[in-house]
Amino acid sequence: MINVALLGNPNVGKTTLYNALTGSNQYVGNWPGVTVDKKEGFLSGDIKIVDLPGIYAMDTFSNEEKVSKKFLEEGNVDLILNIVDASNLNRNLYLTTQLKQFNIPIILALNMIDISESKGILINYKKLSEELNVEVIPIIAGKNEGIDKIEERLQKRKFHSPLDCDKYNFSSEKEAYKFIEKALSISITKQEKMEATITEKMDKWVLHPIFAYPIFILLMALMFELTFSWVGQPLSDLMDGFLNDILIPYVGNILSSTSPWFNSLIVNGIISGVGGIIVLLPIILVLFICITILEDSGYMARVAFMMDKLMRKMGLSGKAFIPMIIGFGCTVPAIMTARTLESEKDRKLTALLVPFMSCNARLPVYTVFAAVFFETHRGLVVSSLYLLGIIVAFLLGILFKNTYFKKDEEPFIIEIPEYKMPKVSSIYKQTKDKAMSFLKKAATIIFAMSVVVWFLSNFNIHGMVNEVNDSILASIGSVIAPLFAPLGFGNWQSAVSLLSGLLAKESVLASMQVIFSGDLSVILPEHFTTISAYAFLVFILLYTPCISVIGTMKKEYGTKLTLFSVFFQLIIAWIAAFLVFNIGSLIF
Amino acid sequence: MIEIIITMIIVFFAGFVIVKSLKNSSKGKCSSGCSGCKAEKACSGKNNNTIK
Repeated sequence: MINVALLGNPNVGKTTLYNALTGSNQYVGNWPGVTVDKKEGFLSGDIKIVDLPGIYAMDTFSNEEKVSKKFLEEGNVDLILNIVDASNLNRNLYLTTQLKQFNIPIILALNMIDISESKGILINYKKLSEELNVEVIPIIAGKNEGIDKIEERLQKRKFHSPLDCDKYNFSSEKEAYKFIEKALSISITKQEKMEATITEKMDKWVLHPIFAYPIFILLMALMFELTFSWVGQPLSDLMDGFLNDILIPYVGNILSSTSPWFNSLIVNGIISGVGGIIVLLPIILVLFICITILEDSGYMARVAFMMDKLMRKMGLSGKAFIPMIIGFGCTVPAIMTARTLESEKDRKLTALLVPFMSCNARLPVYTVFAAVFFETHRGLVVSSLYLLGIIVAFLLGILFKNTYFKKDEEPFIIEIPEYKMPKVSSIYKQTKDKAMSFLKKAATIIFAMSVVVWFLSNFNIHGMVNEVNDSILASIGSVIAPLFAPLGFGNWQSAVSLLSGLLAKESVLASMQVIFSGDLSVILPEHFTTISAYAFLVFILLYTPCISVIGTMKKEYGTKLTLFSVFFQLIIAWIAAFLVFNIGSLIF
Repeated sequence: MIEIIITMIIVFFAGFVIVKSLKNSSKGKCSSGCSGCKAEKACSGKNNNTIK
């Protein structure tokens, strides 16, 4: 068995190379900090490739560096595959000089040589190899070029082991950079650049001190319009039509000869509950495609840079923006990504604020309520919820910054990647994964919750009930419903739906589909006013995300912070929904 | 009779999913919905190198 450690600076293409070598399909992002843990895969049966988190050096002891250093010391590594950005060798090779200290053979993969050449940087690979005493292989990982040469070297299994660590053991950072500059002056020729690159031209506008913000708002507006008006919603409406007008009557007809309770379980319980969630798949996918395009193009890294000022006011560094953005997808990995932040206070504060970013599991509930109560302003209402989550996190960040999480400000350094044309294959792969994940969730946890809710809403201790108000679910709901009465939705149906949402947020909608067992666009207005519907959405946005998030919080930060987080989110959600309902009722 | 058997299978599957989901959640893993999401491996826990 040969152990190969894949190491390099953040955002130089480690995971792309890892995927190319192992045939894996790990998530690749055009921004730093995507890999937070080591990942293992195999080139062939006995060549193990370990993808380690991106680091700049071995001596600043951030969490990612601890993982990498520990692995190099204890992982029985036979070869370091050090991937570097060929257009930014000066900084990238600092890590290389430190890797030389481990006395492990190194292959230097010079990635993105196409970009370095477009910048007028011509590298003499032989000379660079001689200066660093390592094997140099030029590659373009994104286009799969040069990967075969790395594979060939790994398959041969004979690695150059120079035992020259003393030569690269520099007394200071300054000495190391002096050496790197000398090595590069020998091995690199720089051509005079005639004109600005596309990235430079675009960044003049995208990172402009004034225009950057309207451009960001415009892109977000475009994303929500595509999702809720132009593409996602019409497709979802088509699927909804198929479900309600064709599938449900068809299955109901087939099962007409079976017992009424069995017919109800299949049609009102399972098909309505699960189907009501599946029809929202186009909306989630369109939103996800838009976010993937923004990430892959390199725009999101620029948004993190833009947001540094705002994040700093919240007591966080701009780096915390990355977990926040991931939180719009799923809160669990977002909390895990908070590990990449250097300070303990930053990590804890980020983990407390990330759940206020609206994860996509909440989207089905927003979509249905917005369609029923705010038909002409669907996109606006949904985007207002996303914005409200950010505002609440911002205000709480300020509150925490000046109280418990008081700390010195730390500088924020982020790699601004080159703009890249998002690859169709990458978007397809990630969208397919997302669709499969959504369908898997619908077929498992949503299915299970629909069945549970159906049983509880159709039975009591005496047997099957004719009236849902006599069911076990109504009894449970009636106990907790008074808590929500001041928020405008004191009916037991809403209370139990919110309770089921603790298992998965989509369950809120699936539960309503099962409990109301009918057309929600007709039934919901009987239980909600427009104001109380919005207050309900605000509560959904801000209350505890789901049990997986609670488990992750406990694992990462312990019981005390987890309990604080759960009760804190419930209280904030209650207060915000109370304010929305009561102020809204006074105004409208 | 067939209705009872189908219902029992459905109930058994639903119970299994809920128990598994609760068990995974208590370990800080994602429930069924995390495959394909960012940091999926971190969620799966298979290669989860916990940082102390």
